[in-house]
Amino acid sequence: MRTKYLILFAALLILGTGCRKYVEIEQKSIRTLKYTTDFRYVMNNIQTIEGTCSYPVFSGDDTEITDPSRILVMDDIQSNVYTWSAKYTNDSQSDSDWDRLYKTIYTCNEVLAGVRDSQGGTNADKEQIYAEALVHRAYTYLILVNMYAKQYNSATSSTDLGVPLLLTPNLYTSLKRQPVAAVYAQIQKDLTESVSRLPALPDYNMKPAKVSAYAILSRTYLNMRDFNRAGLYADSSLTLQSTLLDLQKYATAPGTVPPRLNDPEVLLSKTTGVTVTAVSISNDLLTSMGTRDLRYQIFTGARSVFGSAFSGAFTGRASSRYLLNGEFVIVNGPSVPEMMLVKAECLARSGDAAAAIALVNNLRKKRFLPANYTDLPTGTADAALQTVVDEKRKEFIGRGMRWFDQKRLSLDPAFAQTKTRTFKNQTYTLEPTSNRYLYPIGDKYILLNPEVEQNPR
Amino acid sequence: MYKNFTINFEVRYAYVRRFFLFMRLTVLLLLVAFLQLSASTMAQKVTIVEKNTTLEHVLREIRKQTGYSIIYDLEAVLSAKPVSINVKGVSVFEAVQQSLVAQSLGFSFEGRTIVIKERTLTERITEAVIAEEVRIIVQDSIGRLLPGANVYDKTRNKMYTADSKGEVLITNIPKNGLVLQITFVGNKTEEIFVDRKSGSPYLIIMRPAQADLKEISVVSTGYQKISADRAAGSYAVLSSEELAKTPAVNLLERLEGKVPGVKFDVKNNSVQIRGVNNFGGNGGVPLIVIDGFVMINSSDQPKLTQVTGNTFGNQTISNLNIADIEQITFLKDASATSIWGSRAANGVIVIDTKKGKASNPSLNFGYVFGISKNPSLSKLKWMNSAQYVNLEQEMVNKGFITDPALASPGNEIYAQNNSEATEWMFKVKRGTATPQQRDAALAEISSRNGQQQIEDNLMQNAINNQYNLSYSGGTEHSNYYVSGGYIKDVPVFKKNVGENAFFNANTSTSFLNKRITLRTLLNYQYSKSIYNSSGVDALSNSLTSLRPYDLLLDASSNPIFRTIIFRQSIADSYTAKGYLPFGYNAVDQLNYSNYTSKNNVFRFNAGLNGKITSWLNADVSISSQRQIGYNTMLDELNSYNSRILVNTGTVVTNGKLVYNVPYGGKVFTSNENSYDTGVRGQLNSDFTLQNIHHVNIIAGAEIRETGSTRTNETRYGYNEDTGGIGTANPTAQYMTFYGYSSNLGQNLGGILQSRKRYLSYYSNASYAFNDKYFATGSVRFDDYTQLGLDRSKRAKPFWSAGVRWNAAKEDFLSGIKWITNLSVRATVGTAGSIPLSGTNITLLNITGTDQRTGQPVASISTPANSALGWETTRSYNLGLDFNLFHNKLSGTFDVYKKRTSGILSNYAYNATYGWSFLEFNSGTLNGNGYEFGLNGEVLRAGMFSWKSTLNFSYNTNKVTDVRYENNASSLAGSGSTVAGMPLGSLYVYRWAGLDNKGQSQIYDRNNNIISSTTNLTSAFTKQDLKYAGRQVAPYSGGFMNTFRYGQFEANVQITGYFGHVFTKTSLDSYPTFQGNFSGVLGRNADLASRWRNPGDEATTNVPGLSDVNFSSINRYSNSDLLVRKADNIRLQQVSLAYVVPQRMLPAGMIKSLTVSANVRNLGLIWRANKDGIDPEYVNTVKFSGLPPTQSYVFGLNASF
Repeated sequence: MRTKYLILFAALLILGTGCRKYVEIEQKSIRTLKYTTDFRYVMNNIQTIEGTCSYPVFSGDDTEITDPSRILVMDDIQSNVYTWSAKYTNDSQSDSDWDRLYKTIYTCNEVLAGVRDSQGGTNADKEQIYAEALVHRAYTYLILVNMYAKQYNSATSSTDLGVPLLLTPNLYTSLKRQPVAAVYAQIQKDLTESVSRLPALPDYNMKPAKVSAYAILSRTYLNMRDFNRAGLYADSSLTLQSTLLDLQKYATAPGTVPPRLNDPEVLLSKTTGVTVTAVSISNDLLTSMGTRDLRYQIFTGARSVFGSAFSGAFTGRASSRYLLNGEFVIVNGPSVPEMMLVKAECLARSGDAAAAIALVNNLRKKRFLPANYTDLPTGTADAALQTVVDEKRKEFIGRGMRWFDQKRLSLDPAFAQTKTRTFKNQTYTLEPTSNRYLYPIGDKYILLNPEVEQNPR
Repeated sequence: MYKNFTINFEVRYAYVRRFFLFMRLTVLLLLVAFLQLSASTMAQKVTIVEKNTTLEHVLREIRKQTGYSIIYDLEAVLSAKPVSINVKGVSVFEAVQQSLVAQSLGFSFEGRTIVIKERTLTERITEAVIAEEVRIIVQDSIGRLLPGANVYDKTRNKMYTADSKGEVLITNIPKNGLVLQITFVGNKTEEIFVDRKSGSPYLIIMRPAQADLKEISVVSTGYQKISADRAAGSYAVLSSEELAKTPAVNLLERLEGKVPGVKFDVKNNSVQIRGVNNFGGNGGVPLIVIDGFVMINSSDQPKLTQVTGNTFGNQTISNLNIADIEQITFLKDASATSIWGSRAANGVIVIDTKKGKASNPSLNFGYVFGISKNPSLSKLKWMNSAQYVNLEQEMVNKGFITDPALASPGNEIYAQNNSEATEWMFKVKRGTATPQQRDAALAEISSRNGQQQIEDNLMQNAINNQYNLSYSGGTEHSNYYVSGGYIKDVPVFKKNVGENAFFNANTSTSFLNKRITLRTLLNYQYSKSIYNSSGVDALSNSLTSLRPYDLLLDASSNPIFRTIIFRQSIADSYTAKGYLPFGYNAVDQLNYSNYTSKNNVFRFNAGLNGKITSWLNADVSISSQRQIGYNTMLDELNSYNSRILVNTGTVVTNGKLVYNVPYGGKVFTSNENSYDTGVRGQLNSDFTLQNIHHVNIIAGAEIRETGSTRTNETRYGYNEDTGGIGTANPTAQYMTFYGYSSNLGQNLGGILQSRKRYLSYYSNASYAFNDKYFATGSVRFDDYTQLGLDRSKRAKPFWSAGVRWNAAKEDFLSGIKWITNLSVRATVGTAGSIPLSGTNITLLNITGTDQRTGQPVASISTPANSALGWETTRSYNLGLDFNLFHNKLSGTFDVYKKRTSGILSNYAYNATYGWSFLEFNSGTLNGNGYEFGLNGEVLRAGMFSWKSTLNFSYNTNKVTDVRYENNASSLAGSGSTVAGMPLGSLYVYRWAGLDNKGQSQIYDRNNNIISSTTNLTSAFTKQDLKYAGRQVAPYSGGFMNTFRYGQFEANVQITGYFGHVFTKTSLDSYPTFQGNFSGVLGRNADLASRWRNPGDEATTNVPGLSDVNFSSINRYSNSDLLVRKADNIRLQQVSLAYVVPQRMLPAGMIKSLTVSANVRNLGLIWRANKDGIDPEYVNTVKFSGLPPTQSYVFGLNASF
């Protein structure tokens, strides 16, 4: 009888000893971030990393929406952005740009926190993925700080409110807004740290490389009004890649404009995240471009291109590049033309009008049919600067990039202008020093985390 | 040597040695039965045919067959004369008596123990002098004397009849006593043993043959069966008879209102035991256990029934054969559930299926037929055609709806078709019609009512048929139960049907003198449901749903096809080129888009029980369950979906049509294969010490693995006749007729696999003293597969403890005759909930390959939440059971308190962290409540009786975590989790009427008016909102009445819910901003009374169109204006059953025959709101808001 008990209890014990191993089994279809390739796959995910911001498309002065039919399809948030309202979102609505940008920050932080301890990859692999995450994070903070905070001003940047600066995937840290200077310092730190770990050029332009890290550094210093460094980094970037799309080739076949992956101008593919359709171009910009500019011909379209978006009375044109190759995407990341124009701006600011205009002309040669092209004359440095700024506005119509220049240049007395726009029979004004250059922080986020301070309006 | 061989564990060592010395002898004589806690064992009859055998052998046989303990003088028995005995199916009394016929031994009964001893000299002397007669008094269960009762002396074969006082005098009682059998019509036959010491008078209380107020004697935990009067925990048991009284197809309908403390929500297909324990959406799902093992389900959250498509009005598929259910035990408090440990926080439902019994074979046949009419759509409270046209007119005038005909050339194919009414409005603008023509046309349109056509063509009478056949039987050593069933459920929507087929076989066989018992169970279920969304869609809110004036058929009953994606003229230009028709018609669609799902479930159980000693047995059981599901979504070529798909991929090249999408239908198939295997080893011990200490211990270990594999694929160009398909490269770009290119997209799904393992150790012990005082305790340790959770947070111990006092057995109460039972229970314990969604570690989801870069991509599916842990519920329960006035009034009453900590909840989070929702589990929740069930006989007069059961429960809870301080705007209208408040607390804006622009205004706490164009700030808090009440009913009750007259039985079933509120639906699918309105307009009648002109704000509260904005609509919809009381009482069922008397049945053929008729869903008896709204079925923009219509159910049950 004792033997019987012994057998029984032994059986129970055997069942018990294997217990931990019994339940700790691998699960398919669900994984933790364990292998280096897992982090690689996360950084490959264009859907979560590529999108940035779309609201600036409505804010900038390259956009002018007056057609009543087009106005009717604008939702409440878009209307608020367009009219530089005090609040863009209701207390329960999400700011989709904010959400998207901070999702990217989270993803990068997750990679930065774990990739170096991952398994199965070489050190070089890990370092490269690490560096890619740094570049994406830096770029995202650059967008965030320029949307939601004051323009960088060396005199006040250490006290001006920036944005919440999250550097780890911790879900319980404070969301207190860090000073603008701190955000910029982080951007510079991330980018300079990344450069040595990156290849000169990427396998494809959705991955960061030296060329795009330099370009973002250039954009960063431009925003900081450190024109010397901005010019130098633009040059570093252009040394690595300076290919331009020759629009002459596409004059008769706009549909063959290469998708962004094959676009030789794109240094790092970044997009608006969502497609803002049928954004009409302001009339003064259209006039300044003239009808012979291939950018006018290929990248803007008349009413018929946009279905029922516009009323029969609409005679203007709207940005149509997103329709060309079926990608339906608005690309607004660092590019060769941007670097050329940043470099040109820095040259002009340093007084080298000739070199600045030469760069602009190099770009313009690819933007006109030979029959319609003439070199721009070299004038004064101030005139050259104006030319460069105007050219940049034409080059990047309908992508939201103008807004950031507009905000940056509002600190430049020569460019400071009061903007007005009329919407639903009401006129709205934006003074150069207006707080409305800062996007409001969504009330929803402040209500959830009261430490997030609202911008003055 | 005179010994009591009942096990004694307090014996000292020397005693033990002696004990083992005599072991061989002892083994022979160890006649203490293993007490099985089953009532059936006690009732067992004895059959012994022996010649010249030893008395000891006979006694052992009696012990074996009856389970009675027999204590006797060893020497006297060994020296007894040889015994010859021939008894068949006699009582234990008679068997013992027969075996002692020639002996000089006497015997007596003490409870379940028989004591046999030599008659001493004194006894012999007293025997000679004490009375040799006994006066027997026969009474019924409520104390009435029963004159005419038959008293049969089995020992001497004599028959007596009770006199007018219900008395019989038995004289000349033999030394060894005699066995009397007492019978009386309508009562159970009783057998007693009477000897010279029995005492006179001897009172016999007869029990009614059909025990309506039958106390459930056994509760089942899935691990063991416990006698109800020994259980300290809170259980509720429902028997198969109770289930049969409500013959609905849906098990939840059968159960509703019948179990105190358990809420069956038929509309949402959910069950909740004692309210919720957490904040999450999946919270409150009880564990379902069938025949001892967790029921299979691929998501590991089994449900009793499943409903395809729209939950309202569609076919129901039962996940088990209701006719096979023997009983359902609901485990409610921690003491009851803790044996299920980590998964028991929300209660456990234990289902035991029918088993064979040791009896003659019997065949049972049941048939149920139910029919109900489709609901009348006129009850929907929707706008009529004229009101709808009026709304469309205003929207056209104000620019919300624009003319698709004005789309620029080349873009007209993107412009959605407009309605018939707006077309006339635009015609005038375009100049192709005069205002007079328009007005005439609109007048005609306004006069239409499309609802009748929907009722006639898309709906039907719901019909269900249920067939069941079972046979069972057995002998002393083995028994069997085999059944088959078939259910066909046809719901109110045409083309939809659900079918269920069941097969079940189980056996139990014992070997080696019943030392080893083998149980097997084989169960197969097949279900098939066909779902066609056409009818549901016509009444919902999609582009293809119908406006109030849209007709399905024209005057000559031909279907009216309507183009949706663009105007008819464009469709015509394409069809002229050879394209397939673009039109949609719901009646036509009934023929083509059918979604079929088939499911096979296999369940095999096997168990082996071996008796090690009389007080210890070991049990090993295995359960293997398999589920094989197969779904097909077929859109035939003629279906709307396939025609549009094919057309989209068709282009004209050189005047010829080129089909870029394979020409034919589209078939989506998915397969799901899941398994659930469990193995359990358990030791059961049960013994009595010195006749007063009764100990029962079980201990075991269990492992379980569950997993599933899922695949899916889509085929194009399907030909229904040949079964052939077209081939296409799913990722290749093809040109669409829109002019842009597209692709079909990945047509093969990945192979999704999941696998989880569970490991548990458990033990449960109970101790009873004198059948009066009970103490129970249980422990369980659980570990399971959860990626990312550290073992310290994953593996958890759970425990419970409880006491019970059967007060009625105390001397001071046993004298009180009207108290049959009175007991008090108290328990405490813990149970858990496995965190199924959140993790402490970042989870990755590898999603495939990016189309552009060709690189594999992954996304982070769940963030690492460092604050995530385990959810545990500790609960306390105090209960009272009573049975008074001889079964006239019985009931249970329970009060409980629960505290759940570490609650998991998906909470709105700051998207700045990268996640706008996050799983937290740091909340705490206190719950408490009470529930009672009362059974009583209200009236009895002659052949008429009225019996009632009243179940009532109250459950409330309070969030005790102060971190849940929500901001006001996310709180309003959502029923969020708020600290200090019950779950589901509804906060609403305080309505301040419309402003002169027809838009919402609300008050803040100081009664300042806030207009809809003002954003709320953080200064606007919960204090500015109004607390409207709870959305979940805290009080619920069921009231069942049974009226019986002769062979007729009528049942009336009433349920009620009280103390909660609901928000009336007012605006659905209404513009929320100035601009193009896309989608389909809502049809709610409130829209007709919208604000139109300044001044209207005095008479209406429905916001107007002109200055409409998101805040205005949002604040209106979530304001106190629309909150109503939801209290209601509903008459669920009235039924009538007739048991055909035996004399009318062909003798020897049919054992019993019952016919019944029921009316279900009789509607509300009372509701608190004055708006005529059924609070359980709140009218929404969709059809699902209609209460079910009356259904008539007829049943027949026969035994052979």
